[in-house]
Amino acid sequence: MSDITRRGFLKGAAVAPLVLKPLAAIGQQGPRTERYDIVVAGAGHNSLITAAYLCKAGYRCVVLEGRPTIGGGVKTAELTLRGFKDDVCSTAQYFIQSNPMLRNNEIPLRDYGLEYIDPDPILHMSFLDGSHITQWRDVERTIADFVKFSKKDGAAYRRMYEEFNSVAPIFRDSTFTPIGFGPSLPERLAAHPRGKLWQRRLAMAAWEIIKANYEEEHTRAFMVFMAHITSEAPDAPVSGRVAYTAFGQQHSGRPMPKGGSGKLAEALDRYIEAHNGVILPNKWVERFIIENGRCVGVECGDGTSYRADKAVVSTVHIKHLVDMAPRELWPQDFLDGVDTWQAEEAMFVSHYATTAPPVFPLDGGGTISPAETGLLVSPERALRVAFDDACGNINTEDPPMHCICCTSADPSRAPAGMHTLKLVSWYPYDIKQGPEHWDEIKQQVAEANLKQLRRFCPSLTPDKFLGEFIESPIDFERMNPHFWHGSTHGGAQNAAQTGPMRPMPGWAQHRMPIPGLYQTGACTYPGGSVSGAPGRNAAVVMLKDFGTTIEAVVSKKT
Amino acid sequence: AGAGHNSLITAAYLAKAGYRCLVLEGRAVVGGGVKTAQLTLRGFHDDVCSTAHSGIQANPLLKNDELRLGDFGLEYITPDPIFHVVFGDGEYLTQWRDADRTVAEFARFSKKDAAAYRRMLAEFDSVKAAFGAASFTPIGFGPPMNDLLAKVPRARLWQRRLAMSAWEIIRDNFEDDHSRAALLFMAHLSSEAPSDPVTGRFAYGFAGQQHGGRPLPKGGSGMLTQVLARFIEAHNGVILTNKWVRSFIIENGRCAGVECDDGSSYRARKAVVSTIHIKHLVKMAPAQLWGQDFLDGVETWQGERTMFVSHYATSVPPTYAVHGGMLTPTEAGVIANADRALRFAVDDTSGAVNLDDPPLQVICCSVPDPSRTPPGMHTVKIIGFQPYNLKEGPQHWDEIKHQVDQANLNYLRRFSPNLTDDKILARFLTSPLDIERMNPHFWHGSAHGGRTDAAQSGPMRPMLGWAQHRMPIPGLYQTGATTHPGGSVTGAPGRNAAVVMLKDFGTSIEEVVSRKT
Repeated sequence: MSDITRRGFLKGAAVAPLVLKPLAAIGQQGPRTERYDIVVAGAGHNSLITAAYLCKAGYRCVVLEGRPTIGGGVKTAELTLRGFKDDVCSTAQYFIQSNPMLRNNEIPLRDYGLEYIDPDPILHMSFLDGSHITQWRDVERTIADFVKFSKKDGAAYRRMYEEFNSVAPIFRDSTFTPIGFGPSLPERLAAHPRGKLWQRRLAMAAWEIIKANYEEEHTRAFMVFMAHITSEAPDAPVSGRVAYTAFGQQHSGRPMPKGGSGKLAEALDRYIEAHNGVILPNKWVERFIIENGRCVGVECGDGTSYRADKAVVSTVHIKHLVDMAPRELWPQDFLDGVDTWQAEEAMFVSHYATTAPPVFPLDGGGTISPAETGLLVSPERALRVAFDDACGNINTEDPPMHCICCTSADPSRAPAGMHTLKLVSWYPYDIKQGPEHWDEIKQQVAEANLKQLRRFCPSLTPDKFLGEFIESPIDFERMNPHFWHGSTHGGAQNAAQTGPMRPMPGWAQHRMPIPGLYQTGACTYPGGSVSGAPGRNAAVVMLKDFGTTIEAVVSKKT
Repeated sequence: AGAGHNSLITAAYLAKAGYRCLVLEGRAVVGGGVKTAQLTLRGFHDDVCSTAHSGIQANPLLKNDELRLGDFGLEYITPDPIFHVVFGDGEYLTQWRDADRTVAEFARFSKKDAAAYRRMLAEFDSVKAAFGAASFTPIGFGPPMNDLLAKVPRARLWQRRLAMSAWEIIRDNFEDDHSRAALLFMAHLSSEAPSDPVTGRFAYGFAGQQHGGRPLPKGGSGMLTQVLARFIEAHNGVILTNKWVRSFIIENGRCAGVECDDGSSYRARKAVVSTIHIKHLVKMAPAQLWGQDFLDGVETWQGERTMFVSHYATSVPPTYAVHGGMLTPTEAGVIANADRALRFAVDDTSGAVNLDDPPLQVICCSVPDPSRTPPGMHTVKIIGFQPYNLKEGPQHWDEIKHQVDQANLNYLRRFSPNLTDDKILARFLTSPLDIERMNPHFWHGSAHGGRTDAAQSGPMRPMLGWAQHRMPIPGLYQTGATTHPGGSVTGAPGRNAAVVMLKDFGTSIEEVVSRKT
């Protein structure tokens, strides 16, 4: 396995080998300066969505991506062996299902090759005592699994699902409205019959809500795990909303694009090019061109520069953004906001090519081989993650894990009969010995995770493994500077870095302090994960500044 | 209903305003969490709950001497050093009244940290006024916190800081583990976990007491409530003890008085003021009178992270080794290292009693105030931090409390070896469960009424829509730790409730305090 590991490591350095762009496009050298209406720095799913709306509005956009492949955190590549298509970062795409882009088909991505698979079961959890809870698309079936452990908890799941559905439209509307472009969440909740209770809930810790509503360890573990996969600590104040994560996905499932997460970015790419846009990979944006205090374009590492007549859109992480223009152009409160920006609880991810999917024995006979599985020995174990993160401990004792086998739902991702396995766990980036130490220990940590997986899934013996690719928190950062300190969601999404505080108070409307510069991506409202909300919200703001509206643009028949 | 320091302050202002007040206290002694009693042996005066009175010094009650409590016998002692923190490796950091001397203590560990501490003192001074205004103004009677902050330099930075965790601020500003542990320990005294979001303010707990110190009333914490009782009685008020208020008298949907367990009842012409914990308050009138919002707020109310307190009568004070001698401070903190302070939340959340290197606050009031004990003797209060909700259930505390007390003492002896068994004359232990039994307001051991986190602060205390001390039942007002700005000895809920009531009565607190009576 060691040579595979070396290969994997080289790939890590080379970064996601699968090149979507025809090589011709990469070598392409236009004039050293090109003019567009809009220059987009970085091609993550959010900035691509912004560009897609701007293209639809008739603006000529160029999207510059530093790496050979577009997509950022929404990328699929052959990380382990040829023919095995792994999601480099994100996999499930359920938040984006409620984005008007898809919900109202504002950008008809299905016409550009985007197709979703909606696995059933949604997510399965096995426990060490042999018992399990499976979340099915059919809510009654899910409730039945809760009732196995407690009638009361089955009733609680039903009650909370109904409660969630009553506020889901309010959450959705605030998520897909830029800050200050509509009523605030408290204002929206005031219209809800239990609005005051919901405001208390949102300010509470998810764990407090879960503990108060569920009495049994297994059902609590299920709810805590769902809260935990948001990368927020379930016992942190103002994490109450993630106590309802399970219900968001009970409602929309956890759909995944056929062929891989990256298919979303590819469909956006096709849409943009079909609308007179240009996408150039291997274009590292190094700095902004400033004229009379206004951002009028960008300069790339290869010496080329691109000028924007209307605006520049950035999805560069704010920790790096401030280095791309003279310090004095960023006001003190903006620099303070960048300075105090905090990373999130980082992920440690192992990708494997296997000859079998994970198969979990079910109590009462039979087995299950789901696309997504949660492994958590107890609620307390999930509540420990924040402590280990704060101290910089690597705690490999019963690590909570998220085990994803997309090929169970989408065989097209691997050679016939073969499988991709993605094992997600949570460890701090900032370990006591310093982040660089990850290079020494990542193999050990990956082995510990596998050992834990086999306690739940004994059939996944070493002989079933063909290849591996391991991403420690520092590898994530190396792979993509936007994953600052391993933050695949841009940074912590806690009370200090959400809503009007994202990225910082006063600058949450996507308009940056330098005129002509807009910001999108996970550092902007409402934050990370595949929602496309920062992308569409940035488009809403820009189109308004350009004298039109997103409604006018989407109603255009083009 | 109830005679804690807050309700007594409300009553004092109302009495000064000329209203005839009756204060009913269920126990034999007034004071609630601000009480001093002989818990261990005759002649040893122990603070049952609170000791230091830092917060209340900024209350206009004392700051502007609105009620002249000095004339009624209130006198403060401000110990120097303010606080002495000892670490697992035997190192220590002492906070002296002299800021430069304290900065020098940080400098022993790191020049950078010394500079960071000096910077923190200046930063805190720039917001002190805004924090004070927010605390000593009822919700909705003045600008909200963000508007107040808008006037201070780096306003947006302060908004971010307040929403961050204390740990993030401490970690990003201090590099040495000792400096970090000292600041974490002080943050931790807030009863919130320093690693939780929206605890940023507690990162400034250490800097916040640099200027004013941690004053103690001469004779004990309870002197404050004794003095307030005197003031009320001197202003035509009546205080009755052993009067358990059982229910409210409701007439035409209005609260017109109270009934006590002994069958007596008392009627109020103007209003009834309650300092009963909201978890019990709702049981004292028919459920339908409270409204769903209010009941939702009570149901979701969370207990805070609790204390385990041992009171000792001793023949020596705790004494700690320092460079070139020994130090005998009034208040000390024992914290092994920064990581240990961060464990607080995880142990509390999982209901685990963690006795390895337990963080301790050790208070010996008889050092600056010999009047509390017989000559040469001392009172020692050792505060540990352990969850009320044990895995085995709170009742389990009765089995383990002696063992927990012994573990705390054994750990303390590693730093204060002079506290040998022969020096300990008597002990009085209060587990989180005992604290609740002692006073139903300490619901689930919450000596501050409940968590003071994002969900239970500002306009959310006790719940959204009911943060102005006016209860859903007309004629009923609420004060005490479950109201803004919360627990600990600030008197702010008490004075704020008076501000609201006097306004409702058609006058103002300014007018009342300006009266020459």
